[in-house]
This record gives sequence, structure tokens and C-alpha cells, in this order.
Amino acid sequence: MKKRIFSIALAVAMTASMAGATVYAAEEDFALTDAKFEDVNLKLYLQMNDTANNYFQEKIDEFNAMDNGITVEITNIATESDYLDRLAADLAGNDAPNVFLEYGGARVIDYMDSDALVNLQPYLEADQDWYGGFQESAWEPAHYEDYGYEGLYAIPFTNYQILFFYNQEILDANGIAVPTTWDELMAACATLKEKGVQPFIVGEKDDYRFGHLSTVLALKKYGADIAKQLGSREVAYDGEEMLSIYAMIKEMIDNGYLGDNLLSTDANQENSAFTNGECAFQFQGSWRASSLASSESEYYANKSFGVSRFPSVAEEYADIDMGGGNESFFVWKLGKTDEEVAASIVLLKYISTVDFCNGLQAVSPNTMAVKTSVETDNYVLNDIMGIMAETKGIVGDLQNYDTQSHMINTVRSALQKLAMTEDNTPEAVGAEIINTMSMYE
Amino acid sequence: MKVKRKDYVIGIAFVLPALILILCLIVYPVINALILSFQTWKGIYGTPRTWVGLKNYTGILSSEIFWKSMLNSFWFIVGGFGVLMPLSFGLALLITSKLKFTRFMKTSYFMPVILGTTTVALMWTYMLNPEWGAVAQLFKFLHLDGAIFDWLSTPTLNVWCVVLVNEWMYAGYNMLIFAAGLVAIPDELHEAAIIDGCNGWQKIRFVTLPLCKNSFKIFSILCVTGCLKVFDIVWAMTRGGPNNVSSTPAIMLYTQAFQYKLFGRSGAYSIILLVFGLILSVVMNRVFRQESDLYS
Repeated sequence: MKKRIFSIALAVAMTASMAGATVYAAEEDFALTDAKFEDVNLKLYLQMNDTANNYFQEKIDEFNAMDNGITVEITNIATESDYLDRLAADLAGNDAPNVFLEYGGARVIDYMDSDALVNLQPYLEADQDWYGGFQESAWEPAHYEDYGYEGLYAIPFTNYQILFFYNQEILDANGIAVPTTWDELMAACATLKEKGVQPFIVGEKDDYRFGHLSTVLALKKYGADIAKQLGSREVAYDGEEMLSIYAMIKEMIDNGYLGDNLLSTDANQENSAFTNGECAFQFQGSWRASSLASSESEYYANKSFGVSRFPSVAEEYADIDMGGGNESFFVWKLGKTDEEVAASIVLLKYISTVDFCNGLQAVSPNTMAVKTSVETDNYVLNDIMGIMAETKGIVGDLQNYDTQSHMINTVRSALQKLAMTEDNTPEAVGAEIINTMSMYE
Repeated sequence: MKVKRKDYVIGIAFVLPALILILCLIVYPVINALILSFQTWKGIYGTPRTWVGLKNYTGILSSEIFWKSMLNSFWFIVGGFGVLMPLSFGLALLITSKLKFTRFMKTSYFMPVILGTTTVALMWTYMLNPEWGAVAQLFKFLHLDGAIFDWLSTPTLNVWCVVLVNEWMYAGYNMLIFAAGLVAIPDELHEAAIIDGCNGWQKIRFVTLPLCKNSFKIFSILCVTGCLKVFDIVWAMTRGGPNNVSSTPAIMLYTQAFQYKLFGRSGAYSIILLVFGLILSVVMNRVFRQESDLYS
């Protein structure tokens, strides 16, 4: 008898406790305030350095310990190409993550066409505090109106701009001022070469280096419109405009301004070379502030590293730069339940709070899409944030505005020709891009 | 003797596990790849595939990059027969000889195989760095500065660098194949050859080589099929670059699927590789046909 009474009491208590909790049901509760779930397991894919990954792991452990019924498992792959390959493999093999980092633009247009990504706009509009917490310039990877899709399909995570880093100590020793125009840059490179100092060391083994340089130069020469003109084929990749951009890079290579053996130097070696004072300049993303600070370089300690906007090519486009939302979080919905999608939004909100991003910025300084309030003693990062605040137009990789998702790989691969020993003319690069495009039509 | 029904059942029961594994892990994926090769698919699970007939095949066979990648595989085959085969056979002769320290030799020659492809590839990538790599430093020491250039970024030369690293790595493995053949030759035959007046080379030419025909056959089939599908060492050393100049068909298969999201075309690459592999295996079998096979 006692057992029966105890069983009934236990059942009543369990039912009462269930009624008290707001267990998520599939109704359209876009705000998801205090939503609770029943054992939802989520997979979060990240591409972070070790420091950021450790921070994520620690905070996700705290998230998992919360009483919300969600358990998150992180998969972090630090190398970009390996990360993207793993992501592609898992999306093909019915093992898609719930939330993942990507760069957006044309790279995810196949996912958009397959209706695989969650439109986050209703969730953002239902939580204005969350929506209003991001830098305005970071939202670009979330928009796909040009492809015919209304809404917001990503939560921007980091914000970036390609900048011009220099070593003031080297410039002072050679009597050179920080170049602000292309002509000044070429003159500075020539002077440095004459004096036996290497201007740049570029790691084109990682083909995004020339990809970034060509985008920066095209924006500085033709303005922001060039991205959409290329995407719509109004401007051709083998046309006069782009050939002149390839020629600018070729001129730098031929004069030895970008270093020797570009194709066997990777981006890490390039970073090390600049950090160790083996070259005077580097064009790199704003994320460089973090690795400069953690490099233990004497130049950083002496505040010799400086940063400025990339030198202008045409004066009217001096304040147009490459950048915007960098990595963004996307939510996968194909094959996922409504409950998993809702839990993914709860996770997204957690990892894009000001507190979360402040903590991340404190351990791994970067320019975040969320409006953070952390005070940093990283003088390079402070300068970068000052420059970014004054930027008037910001555009990502030119190929992100294309209708063909392969274009970023196609263009970057073709640009490597410029550093090869044969068939290395600007015309050969243009022809290669057009030829590859025809293969995929 | 009449085979009982029970014996059939036992026989099938023994074969069945292997058969199921072959069906699941080989036959099904091949059929799936074959079907995929006639379709387009963006590699998103759960999305429909579109039938395109032979378009993927015509696209591949008419593309310059496919034939360039086949040429790179051909260089691997040339390297396999021109360098790896004599090297491995020579090493096998050494370790099966009556010389001292053959145990040490066996371990040393086999060491690169144990290291694994990625380790070997990274090691050689660093060693071949034109600025600070060990090979460049050696050339500088020998006052051969003119011979130092970007080996892994120069078209064709970079493929040959990878080919030679591949031969260095697999020489020990193939040495074992030849050694197995060599130790199976009865000593009496060598002794008889010496009595008949054979010198060292003649002994190899008229006794060892003919009796190692099966080892050469195994090596040839493994070499040709391995070279056709070579991926790992090229990927780890050059990623098929720069600008795809060191790509092989297997690298194209991978990049078409996972970078260009053209899974149908990637499937077509896999079928083309399979067909080439089968044809060359049959050719190898005929080339190394035993005399007994000819008369049977």
C-alpha cells in the first residue's frame, strides 16, 4: 500500500513539475524566452584557434550544465581548408551540424537554393535586444536578396577589414613614411629593395592571399560596384579592368616586392616573417591583431607595429575596403526537427551575447560583430577599431557576389599562375578563369 | 565423391560474411557512384538529384585539366617502374643476401613505410623548402646555388619531386614483396647455376628474375592501380597545386566533390578511374602470364 501511495505521489510530483516548466512546443515562439527542451543534442562546428576554442569549450560546458535540456557538442578544426572539407563531407553524408561557421555569400548559395538554412529574421525581430547588439556593417553575409531570398540567414560573429600593417622601426631606419597611395607604396618598396630590405613576404601557397590582394586592389581602383559587376558578368574576369589588377600584382612579383618562392611560402610563414621583422609590410585581416599580440615579438613590445588603411589606388575610393562580416553562424534545418532548430537559436543567442563576446575578445583579441565593451591593451587592435569605424564602404571577397559557388576557388587558383615560372601573364590568368567557368556552366 | 547439401550450407556460411562485407563496402558504393555519375547533385543530403546522362563524362573527357592530371598519374607509373621497381628489387637482393647487418638494413629500409604518408610528406616538404630546407642547405654547401629553386611549385618538376618521395617511402614495402619471392627460390637452383658457370649477374638474369615473375606481377598491379588513384602524398605535399598543376585524377575527384560541390562529376571521375584501373590490371595479368597458363 505504501509503495502504491509513493508511486502515485511521485507521478503527481513529476506531472506538476512538467507543467511548471516551459517545455518547447513547435508553436511559433520566436522569442524563445526561457525555452526548455527535452534532451536535444546539437552539433556546433567551429574553425577557431586553440585559445578561442578553449574559451568556447569552457563556455559551452557551462551552457550544457544549464537546466534547458540542450547538450552541445563542439567540433573544432583550426585549418580553414580542412574545416570546409569536413563541413562539405558531413552535409553530403546526412551528418550535418546544427550550427556552423561559414563565410557566407556565394559560398553558401547552394544551401540557400536547397532551402537548407534557417531564416533567422523572425527570431531576431522577436528579440530586439539581440538584433540590436550587432555592428551594422557585419550583417552582409546574412543577406541574400540579390539571389531572390528575403530574410536574414546568418548571425555575424566576427567583423573584419583587410588592412595595411607595417613595421615602423624598419621604415624609420630607411627613412620611409607610411605609404597612403599605391604610387607611394611602389616607391617605398623600390627604396626598401635598393637598401636590401624585403618589402612584403607573401605566402601564396595559401591561395587566399592573392585572392584578398586582388579584391582589395579592385575595390580601391573601381569602387564597391565592381563586385556586383563581376557577379553579373557586366565586367569580365578577362576584361581590361581585371587584367589591370592582375598586372599590378604581377608587377609587384616581378620586382621582387612580394618575396621569393611565394608558392612554397604559406600564410603562417608569412605571418612569422612579418612578426620577426623579416619584411616591412603585410596586408592582412584585422584578426592579425591577436596573433601579433601573442607572438612575443620585440617589435610588438616596442610598439613598432603599425596599421593603416590599405593605400588608395583611385582617390575617390580611398575609404572603400575589403571586409565586413567575416565568419558567421548558420543554422541547418534539412533533416532537423523543429525542436532542434529552436534549440539552435537558443545556442546562437548564448554565443552572441555581449558577455560571451567580451570574454572571447579578452582572451583572443579580434574585431567582433557584436558590439563588445571590453577594454583592450592591444594597441594594434585599438588602432584597427579606429580605422574600421571610419570606413565608408565595405565589401567582401569579390566572388562572394557571384552566382556560381565555385568562383572563389576558381579565381584564387588561377591567380597562383602569376607566381609561377611559366604561363604567368595577366592574360593567362584571365583566360584560365574564363576557361574554368565554361567547364562548370 | 558426391558433395552433400550440408557441405554446401557450411561453405556458404563461411563465404557469407565476406560476401556481405564486399557487397556493402565495395559493390554498393560502386553502383551508387555509377548512378551518381549520370546525375548532378550539390552534395546536400536529402536534396534531389537530376539525371544528366553522359554530360559529366563528356565534361571530364573534354577538359584539359583531366588529361593533365592523367599525365601526372602516368609520371607516377613511369617512376614506379623506372625507379621503384629496380630500387625495391635491389634492396630485396641486399636483405636476402648473406651480407652482415641485413636485419638493420630491413628495419632501415622499411622505416619510411612505418612513418606514414603525412609525416613523410611534411618532412620532405620542409626539406625541399628552397629557402631554409635541408636540400637547399646541402646545395649551398656544395656551391650549387644555381640548382636551388622552388621545386614544389615548378610545373612537372613538382610532380617528379612527389614521385621520388613516394618511391623513397614505398621502396621498403615493395622490397618485402620481392624478398618473399626471392626466399622462395630453392638454393639448389643457385648452386646449379654456379656449377654451370654463371656469374653473379647471369644468376640473377637466368634464375632469380624468371622465378620472381609472380612478385613482379603483384608489384606491377599494385603499382599501376596505386599510381592511378594516388592521392594522399600529393595532397599532403602540394594539395594538387599550384593552380592544379600537380593534381591527379583522385585529387580532382575529391576537389570536384568537396570544393566545387559537383558530386555527379566526382562520381564520373571515380568510374573513369575504376575502368582505367580494371583495364590496366587485365593488361598486367596478360603481360605476366605464366607459361603454364599459356598452355592450359
